[in-house]
Amino acid sequence: MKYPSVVLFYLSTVSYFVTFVFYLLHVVLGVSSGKGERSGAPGIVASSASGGLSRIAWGAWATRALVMSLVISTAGVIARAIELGNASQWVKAFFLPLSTTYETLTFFAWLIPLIYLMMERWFQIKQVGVFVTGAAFVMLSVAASPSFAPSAPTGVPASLQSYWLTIHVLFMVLGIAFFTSGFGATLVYLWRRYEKKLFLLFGALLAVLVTTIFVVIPLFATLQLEKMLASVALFAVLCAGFGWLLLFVHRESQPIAWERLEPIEEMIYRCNALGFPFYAIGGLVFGGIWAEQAWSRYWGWDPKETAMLVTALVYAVYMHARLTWGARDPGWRGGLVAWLSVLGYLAVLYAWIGINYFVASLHSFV
Amino acid sequence: MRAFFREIAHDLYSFFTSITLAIVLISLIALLALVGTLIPQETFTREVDYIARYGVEGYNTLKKLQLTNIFGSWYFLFLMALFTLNLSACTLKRLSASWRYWKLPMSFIPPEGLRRFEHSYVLSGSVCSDAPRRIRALLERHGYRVREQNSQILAEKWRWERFGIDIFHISLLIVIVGGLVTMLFGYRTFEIAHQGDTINLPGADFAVRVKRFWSENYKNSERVMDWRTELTVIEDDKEIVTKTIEVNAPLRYKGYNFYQSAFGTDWQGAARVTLALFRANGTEIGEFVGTVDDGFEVPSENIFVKVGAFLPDFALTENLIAYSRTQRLENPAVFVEIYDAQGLRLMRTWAFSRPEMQTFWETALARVSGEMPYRVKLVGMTAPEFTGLQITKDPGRPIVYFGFLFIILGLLVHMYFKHRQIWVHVSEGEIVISGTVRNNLRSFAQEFRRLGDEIERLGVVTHPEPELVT
Ligand code: HEM
Repeated sequence: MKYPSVVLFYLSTVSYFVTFVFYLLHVVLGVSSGKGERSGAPGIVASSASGGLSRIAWGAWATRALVMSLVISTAGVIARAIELGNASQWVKAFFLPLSTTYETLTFFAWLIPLIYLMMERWFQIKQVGVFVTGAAFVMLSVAASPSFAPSAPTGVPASLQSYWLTIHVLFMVLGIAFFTSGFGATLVYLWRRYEKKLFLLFGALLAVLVTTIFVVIPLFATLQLEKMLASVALFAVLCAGFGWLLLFVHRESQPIAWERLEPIEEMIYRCNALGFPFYAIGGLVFGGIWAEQAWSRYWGWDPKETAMLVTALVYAVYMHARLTWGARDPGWRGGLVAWLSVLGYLAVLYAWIGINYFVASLHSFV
Repeated sequence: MRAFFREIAHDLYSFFTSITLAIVLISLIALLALVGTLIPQETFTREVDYIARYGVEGYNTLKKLQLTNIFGSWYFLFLMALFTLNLSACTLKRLSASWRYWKLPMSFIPPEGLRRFEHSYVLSGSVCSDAPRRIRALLERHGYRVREQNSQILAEKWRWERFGIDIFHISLLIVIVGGLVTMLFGYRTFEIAHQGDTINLPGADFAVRVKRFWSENYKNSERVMDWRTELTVIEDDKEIVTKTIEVNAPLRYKGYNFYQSAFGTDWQGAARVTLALFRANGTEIGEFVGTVDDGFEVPSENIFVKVGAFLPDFALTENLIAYSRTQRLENPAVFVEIYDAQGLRLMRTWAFSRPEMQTFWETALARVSGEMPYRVKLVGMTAPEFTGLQITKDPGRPIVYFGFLFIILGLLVHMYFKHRQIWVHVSEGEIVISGTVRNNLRSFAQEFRRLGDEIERLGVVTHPEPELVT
């Protein structure tokens, strides 16, 4: 093979899959009560009487497998950076391998689990690993699909040849990686809070999103005044409906064991609060400085820029809501704060991937 | 009356200092910005593209609702103004709260009170006499500032971190101000220049000459590596500086900035076309050369042919408005008007170089307007290369950068430092250690336990086994 990185990424795809299975087994067979992980006691697996499989410390193995996968994909990313540097004749920039979709996906599949590993060491909540390693596996599989690559590296376009770009992208990517761990933690939090009713809520959320994309937006886009008003009204009804369902489910749920929610709530908050400075500084400050050099303005309301601003604003709303309404509130307000974290991650996905499918923008290379 | 106004002022103050208002405003701004990502904004979209996408009526509706310029619309600006007020009010209020916090000294807390802290630790046994001194030294090694009051040790660090988020919020305001300054007093233009052109700028006491420009490819590849333009600043007829600018490396001189922003062939501005002219009966008159916005005379026919516009990639909107889809030579077309000696227009038409377009157009035209006196074909075209320079004057720049710097500092301080306070009460039979951290982070529990362990390992308490109480 001409490009060692490609082989390394194939290997890490397999490795992440194995890691994912370990995490899944850990969740399904291991900790079921969640008691074992209170107050940061490391590596505890609740013993359970049901059979031999559950006696294996899947959580510990999962972490080992994660470290292993990370070693392989680190090698892959380094190899890719060197290949890209060679193809670009090492012009003026320190290269992060982020110039094509293939490179972006493989880079994220390295960084997101890396950040998660740090957060796992800190908070000792391993259920989040299911989501994170699953996501890494999916990203690598998509990257390996014929539509994206594995492609030969090409030289980077002139507008990308700046070390500000490298700094900007690195910060954004770090921010997204923290937000991803935060989102994984939010899923665990919501599961602990609603258990099976979460399927109902996510189903409803999905319905709201699908209706918005396929009915509300096209209806608005007809640009006839009545239909536009109808679309706005429909959107308001959808939001109100979801809000009502949320309140209803909150009323119905039994009193929640707050000790079970508190550690995971703090993990969400810490991940989001750590992601925010990277994302906001990377986007607003470094992005601005670089855009001024390349395009002569800090801020031009370009769709991708704007979507990034929207994301930062949603996380700002999350943090202020947590501050005033109290995340430690076991009632519906506390739950609402967690849903704001979900909304924030939806915005991340929109700004990162979705926007490329909606509008052409200056940023459309990645 | 005075009381009435005071009440109103008070209501306004509590309205504008409410975080709920901030949440509502930020959400609304985010929602509008989201709409602004879905509808292309007019700063980077041409009218024809709107019409191609939404039709004339739709475009007019969008314009009426200011959705094509959402970030300049009255409702967005109104929200931004409210938000700025909100942020200023909040910051002021919080700043005074932070100031009170800063001034509030740590004080003695009786041991019964200390035991009730979430993080507290008791060592009992006989306490040796130099315990306070050694505990103080330990805390100081950990970066705490230590004081004693009534034989209680009061230690704290990073009290100033509380100002971090205030600095951040203030810096947001500073950046908004910087942006406003640029908007109000700045200057921006886009110039297309050919080799040797001199650019004069209004209000500037210098001119800039374009010496040459070129592009560079990657080795053995068609991919462009970079575009460059060599610029010379001329002041009082003297050459002051020469700099080669490129993408990401502008020339900055006396507050003006020159960016390499475009590069290419100037089809629309200065194409030079070769046209073949025929009479209606099909006999050829000859080939002629003309440039856009100019034309040529055909003496044998006593007519003047005017070259109106050149489109490198001709296309029509649904309302039959011609525009160029791209700047590449995909489907070149030229708009031609022919006048007689008296200056009366005889005909006008589009001429194409793709034969199927030419046939299609002539057939359509014949159906609408009947027979034309002449036929025109586009047989050749050239255009000069140009370099596109974005030129700005940006007086808000230092303000914005100043704001950026403190945005970073403020956020870093807020995220990575949290004010910690430790009380150590030493009495004859026991030592009570308690601590708090601002915002009460759980992760402090580990740090606190480690600190307790270290104090225990000092060995200042002996006999009965040390007892852990949490
Ligand atoms: C786009 C605008 C804003 C952004 C990006 C922003 C960002 C932030 C961030 C990141 C924090 C730290 C939160 C945490 O660590 O949990 C914070 C805290 C805070 N913000 Fe804002 N903010 C904005 C606007 C406002 C406004 C308009 C107000 C006033 C109503 C406000 C009032 C506060 C207050 C009182 C805190 C409390 C800090 C503390 O006690 O730790 N913010 N803000």
